[in-house]
Amino acid sequence: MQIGSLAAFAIFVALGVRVLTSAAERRRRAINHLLAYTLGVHAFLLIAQKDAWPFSVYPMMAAVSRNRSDQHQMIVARGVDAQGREWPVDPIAWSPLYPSSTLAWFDVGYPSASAAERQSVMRFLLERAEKARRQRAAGEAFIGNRALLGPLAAPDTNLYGAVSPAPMPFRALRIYRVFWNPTAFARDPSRVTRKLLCEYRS
Amino acid sequence: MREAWNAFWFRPSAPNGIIAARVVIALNALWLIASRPLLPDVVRWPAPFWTHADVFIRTRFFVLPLPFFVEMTLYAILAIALVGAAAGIALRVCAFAAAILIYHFAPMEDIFTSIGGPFFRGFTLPLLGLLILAQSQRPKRSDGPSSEFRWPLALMQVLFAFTYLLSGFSKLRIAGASWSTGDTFESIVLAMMIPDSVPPWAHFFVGNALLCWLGAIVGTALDFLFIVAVLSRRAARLIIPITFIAHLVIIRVLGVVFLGMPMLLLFVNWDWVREALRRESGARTEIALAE
Repeated sequence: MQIGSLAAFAIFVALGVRVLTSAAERRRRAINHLLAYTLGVHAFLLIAQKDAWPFSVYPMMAAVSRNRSDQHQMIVARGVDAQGREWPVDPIAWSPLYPSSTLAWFDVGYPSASAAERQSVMRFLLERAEKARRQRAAGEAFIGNRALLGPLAAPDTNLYGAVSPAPMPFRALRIYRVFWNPTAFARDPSRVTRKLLCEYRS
Repeated sequence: MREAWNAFWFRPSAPNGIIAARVVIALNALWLIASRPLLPDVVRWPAPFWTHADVFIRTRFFVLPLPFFVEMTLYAILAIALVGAAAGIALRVCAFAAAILIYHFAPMEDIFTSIGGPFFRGFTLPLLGLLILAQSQRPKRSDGPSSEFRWPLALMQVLFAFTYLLSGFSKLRIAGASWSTGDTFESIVLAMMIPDSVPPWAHFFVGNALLCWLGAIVGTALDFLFIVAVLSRRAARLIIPITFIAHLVIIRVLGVVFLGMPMLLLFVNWDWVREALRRESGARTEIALAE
């Protein structure tokens, strides 16, 4: 699949180069081939329901469960100060990645990672979380992904809630798997259950 | 059929649209790059993150084990190439280099977990658009109408419209016609309300059948009717502002930001804008001369 996707992109580039290098009398034909190929690739992907970025059929939100009794889950991180209080981690603490991309590692990598690997990842995430906390607490706005453009920087595709910086340094990082029922959560945001996945202390 | 094909892709057009497209596409990509100024930093992340990054995905996007300074240099070249493309300097070289480097860097945001690619990170059309620009004739403002200024812009517009049209077809194919119901829309709103991040207007929709049906109908209509904006400038005058407003509402209701939103500017009638600016400038000159 990956090789096929690369080939689809390479053919697009090659057809473009052909447009560029074709003699005037053959140029229109080369352009037509490029246009037909572009439309054809998308038609194929649509029928096959495959993604071959940069050719995509944009399947976002196509598969949505309408079963209101479903249990949803996600991974969240919490910084812990010296008094044991938990605080949300700044969404741009792990720039250039956002939390959803970073914490997904706990689904794909964590289960098979060794103890040393887990520790290495947790230490890294805690250090970055603490650095962002310190910068925010000092009133810095141009940090992480916002280092150049500040508030004008493009956000992640998914918006994250604003986080007030914790007043005390993070001494530990906890990773939880959080569970909730969407209907119950919409009525009362406190109706979530969570299970501690791992904890790292500095 | 052939006539319709030629009339759509190759009818002579003034160069204003493709010049504007060049600037819009390059600046959109530059905005995204400047919003992740240290994207190559992921190559320095602890090894366990990389252990589970799919080797085929890494190969496909040429994410090789290169040192950080090499990746950072390439990233800087990408930014410079985008500035060059926006300004029309060495357009073909800049646009081609920028496109290939976007292809390399864009997947890094999801490299540890992605299975499909960064189809919704805002780089899709900039990448394809830059490649199209690299292959097309370089326009000058003084150029007369030509088919060479029509087909590249038309292709970019079609590819942008695919964001909606193919999304609509995907929904039909995966969920069926039942996707376009208030019940489904409410389920989406509920799914986007997650701990730590509840979109501010989501609560207005949950339990409100009228709003949810409105959301479903508007969403479906945009998916399937946006393509009309490619075919008709008159329709575009209506569809583009509505789409823009819809995206702003989606941010508040679903918490989803469409990073390709600036691409709506591809549908502005730049011939009209230029003519209006010229008239304005002429009127000012006349007033100044009269004074």
